[in-house]
Amino acid sequence: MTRKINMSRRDFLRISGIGSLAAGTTVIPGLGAVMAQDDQEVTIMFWDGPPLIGIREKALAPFDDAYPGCTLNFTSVPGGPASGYNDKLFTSLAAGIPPDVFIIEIGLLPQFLADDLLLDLKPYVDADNYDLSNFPDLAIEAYTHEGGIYGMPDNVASIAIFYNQDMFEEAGAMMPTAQWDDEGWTVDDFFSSCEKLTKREGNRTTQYACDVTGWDKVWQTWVRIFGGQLVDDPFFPTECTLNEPGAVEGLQFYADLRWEHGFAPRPEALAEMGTGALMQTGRLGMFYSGSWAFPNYRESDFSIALGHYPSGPGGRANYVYYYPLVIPKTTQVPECAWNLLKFFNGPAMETIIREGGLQGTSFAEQEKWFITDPLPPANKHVMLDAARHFVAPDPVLTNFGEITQIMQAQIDLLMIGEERDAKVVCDEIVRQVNPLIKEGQWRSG
Amino acid sequence: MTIKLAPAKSRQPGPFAEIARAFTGLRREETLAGYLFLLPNFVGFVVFMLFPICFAFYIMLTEWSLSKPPEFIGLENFEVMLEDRLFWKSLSNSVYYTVVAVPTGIFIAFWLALALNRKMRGIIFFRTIYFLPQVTLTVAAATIWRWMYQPNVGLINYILGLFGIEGPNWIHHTAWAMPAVIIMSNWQGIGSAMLILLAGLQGIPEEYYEAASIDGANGWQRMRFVTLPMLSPAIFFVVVTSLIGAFQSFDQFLVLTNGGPADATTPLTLYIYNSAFKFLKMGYGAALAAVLFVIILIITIVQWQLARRWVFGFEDN
Repeated sequence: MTRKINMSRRDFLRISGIGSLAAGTTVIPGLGAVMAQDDQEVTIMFWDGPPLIGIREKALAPFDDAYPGCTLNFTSVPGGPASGYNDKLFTSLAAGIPPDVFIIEIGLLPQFLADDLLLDLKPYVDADNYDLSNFPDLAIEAYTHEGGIYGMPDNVASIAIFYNQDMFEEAGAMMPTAQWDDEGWTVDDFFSSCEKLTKREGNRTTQYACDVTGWDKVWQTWVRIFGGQLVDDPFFPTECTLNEPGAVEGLQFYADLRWEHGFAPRPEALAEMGTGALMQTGRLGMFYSGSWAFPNYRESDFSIALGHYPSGPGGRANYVYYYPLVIPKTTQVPECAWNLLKFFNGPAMETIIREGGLQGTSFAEQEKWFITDPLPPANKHVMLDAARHFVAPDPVLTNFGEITQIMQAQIDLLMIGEERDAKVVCDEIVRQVNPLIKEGQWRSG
Repeated sequence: MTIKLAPAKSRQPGPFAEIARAFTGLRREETLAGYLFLLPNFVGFVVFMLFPICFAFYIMLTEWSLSKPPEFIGLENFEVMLEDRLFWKSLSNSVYYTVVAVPTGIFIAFWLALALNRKMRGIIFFRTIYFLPQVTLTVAAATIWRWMYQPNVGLINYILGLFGIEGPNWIHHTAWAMPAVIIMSNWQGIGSAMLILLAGLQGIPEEYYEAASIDGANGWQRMRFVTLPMLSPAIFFVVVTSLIGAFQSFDQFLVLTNGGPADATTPLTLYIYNSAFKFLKMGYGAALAAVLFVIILIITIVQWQLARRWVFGFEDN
């Protein structure tokens, strides 16, 4: 049965208004009830996608029970800092409601410190007698500013050479060393191995020795191997030194592996089949990556192992990630946030490492859980040794992200072969970057 | 149950009477109801359009890293811009893209519209096919075009190879990356231009062509003296919107090339985004956006001025 109701506009507006009011008053007591609870909600934000997002969440799940009164709110923006994470973080900072704990790129730390955004953890470290000695000194030094400590490591992860042992054996090539202080495995040995590994049929390369990537952490390592540096002093930079002989030589050697000697696939070959696919199909001898690549090689039909970069005039080098987890000064739950940091670097880290998520933060945990993992690749201690011995700090500048992008645009020219002379590229980088270094200085030596 | 609203009273004649009555009696309620219905859209406009635009004009005069309050620095951002190599590079990239993509896109759309403006079986199917890229997500389209642009196994170089042409390394070469973006953009964008021009063509009375034929006009003359003048308002609309759209292009650059290699395909929009959200220079990003706004404004004004000379019936309107 339908019944028609004649309603005036006035009645319609009244009913609408009363309805809205009723809806509003229903929600507000609900909010009040939530706020009335004793638990303090502590929000942590990462940038991981699967599978790491699940591993971290699982590892942090027992936090609520370990610290009664604190309730964890886990969130992640998958895809890394450039895929929406930074947008969300900066927007929440501008709105004054950032997460209570969040990860940042190490290059952003100076900007955050300059803006006085972060909570000093030193009082909490002192109050709990929290042992920082197990973390890399350089990482803790990077987080330290005017006596305060403004972060704890999220992951101390190095890059290693992943290599196909079967291919090396077949070619009779020297394998990358797994011993960090090995006097052998020099750049000459590396070059010699590349010669033996590379196979050609006419003009076509059927097997490549190594990868040449535009990944900044890798080419910067080759710069250091040849004795070069990005800047004169990473903690108090005043000028870019990339056009000095060691740096130029390192970049030239690296680029020539692809363009002069043909040991590495060119961009067109990589567009057809990426580095991972070339490696999996037995057409590439070695490439660079971190522990996040382990799952891809668990079931390979060849033996895969890790080795160090070769040593050169500047010794052996590596890039070690030590991105910090930080707490904003505006947090309303500093105690819970500090407890969460401790929990992350304590009980949670064991689960994260064992589940294959990260290399780990403290050396003790890495020794215990990371290097003892029996699954491929072999020689996982290479990554731990690199983290112990080859940490190289990023320049402390408030605009290092912008500087990196400018450097990368020029390095691209070298990597894609449009400019073959590393000196030309390095001179241009220095010309463009030096004024920005002046702009990005925020503390004096 | 059906709710039936009471009918509105009949309108009173005269504009002043309308205004006077708008705030009295039942008319006031009607006015209020009208505003209430407008409110959600208006609030959205104010919050997401008007306020950000006004705020952008303020922050372009500041240094603001998002993490602390903006600091007023006057016109310093514009002084920095003059010496910023990336600004000039990205501006020239935007101009290059616009100058090539817009004319070629309109030219192709025009001939497509002519081809599809005929009565034949299956014509709707062809019109739909040509319009389909327009409704495809740019991110998805750009991802597929990345595969098609692969130098060794990509479809485009394969087709070129059939004609004995060795295709370039499209998106990894500084000289070819921009043409690659332009081709993809035109593939995706000509659908809407074609549709507008097609509608314009169908609005031209058949009698004009008949009259021209009786006067002895051949095909080219009918095109020159009937089709083009009658279609000029539609062409004008397409030119104006395409130029604005070209200067505002962003997503295809981001996904297809991410501005590379070596900044060869970084348009002003991508540089604005990078400055603001990657380099945390919100003030500088807003200043760049203001420059882009002024450029688009000037170009649009010039087009409106020039339209008097070539757009049929422009003065009358």
